[in-house]
Amino acid sequence: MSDLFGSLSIAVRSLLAQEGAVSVTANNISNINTPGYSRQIPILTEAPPLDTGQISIGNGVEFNGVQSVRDNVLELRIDQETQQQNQLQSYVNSMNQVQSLFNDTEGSGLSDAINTFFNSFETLSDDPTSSSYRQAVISAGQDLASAFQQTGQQLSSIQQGVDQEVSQTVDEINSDTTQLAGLNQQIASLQGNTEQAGMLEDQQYSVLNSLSQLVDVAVTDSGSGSLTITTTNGVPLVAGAQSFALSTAANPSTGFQDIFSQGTDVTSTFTGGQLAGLLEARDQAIPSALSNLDNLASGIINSVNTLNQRGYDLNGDKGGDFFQPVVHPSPGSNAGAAENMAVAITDPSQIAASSDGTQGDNANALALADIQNQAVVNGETATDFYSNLVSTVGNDVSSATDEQEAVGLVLTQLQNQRSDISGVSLDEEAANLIQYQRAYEAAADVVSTIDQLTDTMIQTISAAT
Amino acid sequence: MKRSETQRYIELLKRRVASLRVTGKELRECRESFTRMDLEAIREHISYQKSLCAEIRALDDELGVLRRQLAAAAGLEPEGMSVAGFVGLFDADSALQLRQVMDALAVTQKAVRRLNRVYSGLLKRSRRSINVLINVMANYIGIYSPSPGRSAWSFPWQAGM
Repeated sequence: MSDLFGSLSIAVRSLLAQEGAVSVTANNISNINTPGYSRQIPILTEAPPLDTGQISIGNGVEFNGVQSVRDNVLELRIDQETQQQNQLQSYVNSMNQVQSLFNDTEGSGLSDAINTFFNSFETLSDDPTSSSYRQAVISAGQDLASAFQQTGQQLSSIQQGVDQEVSQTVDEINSDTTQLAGLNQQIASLQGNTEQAGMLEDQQYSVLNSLSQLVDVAVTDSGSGSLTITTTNGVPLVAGAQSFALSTAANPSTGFQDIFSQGTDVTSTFTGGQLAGLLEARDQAIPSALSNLDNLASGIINSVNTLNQRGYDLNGDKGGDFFQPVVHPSPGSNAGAAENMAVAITDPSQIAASSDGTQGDNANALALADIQNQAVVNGETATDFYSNLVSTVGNDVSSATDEQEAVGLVLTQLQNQRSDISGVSLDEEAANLIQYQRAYEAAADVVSTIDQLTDTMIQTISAAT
Repeated sequence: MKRSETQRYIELLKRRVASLRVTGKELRECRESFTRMDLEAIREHISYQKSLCAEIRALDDELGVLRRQLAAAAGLEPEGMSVAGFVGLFDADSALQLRQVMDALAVTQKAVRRLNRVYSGLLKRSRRSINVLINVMANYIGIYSPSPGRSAWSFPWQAGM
């Protein structure tokens, strides 16, 4: 049987335990608006019973620290969707700039320039000897070349801007992985201090969430709260207290930054997060738009030059190149055709409007005007090809935007669920507070009763002696 | 061409636009229910969406019949008739009304198509969350299976396992 002092000890432990529980509740309430905070619960366990040989007597309660309430499966899904959302967001941001280039009213006006150029040949056919009409053709050609140049240069400029963002993102990834390695080390050194570990784990999840926005990550708990982090394709980022920094180096052929992990080129391995979105825009979507633009420029240049060479100019001489011929950097490649497009002739009389060398003949001017109705690239007319290019970019951005919206909704859904599990509920905390307060009052009553009993016992003993 | 038939056609198209607008509103509200995981509300929305789809299908059938009647009355082949050709069957006032309704229909259809794409993305991703939970359960189910050592006697609450 426990004596009075044993009972007092139980009551005092209970007071301390309830006090600890009230502290946890107070901490929860004060962190109600802290982003990334997971509510904590006190770990109250039954103290080991006193074994008196034949019977065991309860020995009260012990406060064994606190535990953060967190659902790891939910955290995993939030990380996955965060990676997707940021990938789509960075992609859409980059491609919105590309889309605005092809906007008919605010963009480079390429569509109008194509139509005006071919229409100028049609006007010339009305009076092939008119020097003003001839000058108008050259001006329209220069405007067209300028529109192609500007569009090509702006696309390259967007691509370079995205490339800079790639480098910045890699720096941010390295900063996060360094922090996570530091947190791993701190958590490992705590050895069972659950309260502090809970706080550090909250920080860990917060940094991990930030990292998930930048890159796709796969997380493994390697025990004692220490996280091993790689990309989903296995590029190591953090293992225990060590972080593996990513580095960048300019690719000699493209001039853009490639990403390396411990000497290996890992540029093409990223599948999520801001970095993947930027790389997709820089290495796939923008080059595709640029390549189509070059093909269109090349198609127009070749068609116009071929027909101009077939005709005769105002002086009765055989026509030459209207545009500077395309320089192919490699067989089959039209790279640079748009950015380098330029009108080759300066003398309006050199336009080969005639098909037989007579001054008033307009047959070749009509043929040149008719190019706009003929297939010049990939079996399509210039206008159709350009329309398809614009609609491809538009559809691409539109479907990425829709997907981004869906991901945003799912993230809200998952965050709502996370909030249900890990978030602080004031009602629940208030109820807990009352419960701990009552238990504290009861324990205090026990202390008071034992005090009275002890007093009585001392008086009894004093009287007896 | 009977004016009553052309007016009936326009009226049906207007009802189709209205039904599509309600469908769009429903899709927006349903996705809110999805983000709250309010299963009862989701069930109600889906049930209403089904009835809206049935209504639109019924309207489409009725529009198809009427279109064929209008074409036949004008002595034309309804199959492969162009939009311009069909509008040409209407008198000037009705043709103007028809064009306005068709423009409104095109705008509404585009908006609903977009909402539907976002909605199906939401469903696809919610499904992924469920799949992750199923995989986790499948992975851990062994832990909670009755152990062979206990098969000789079992606790009452294990009866249903």
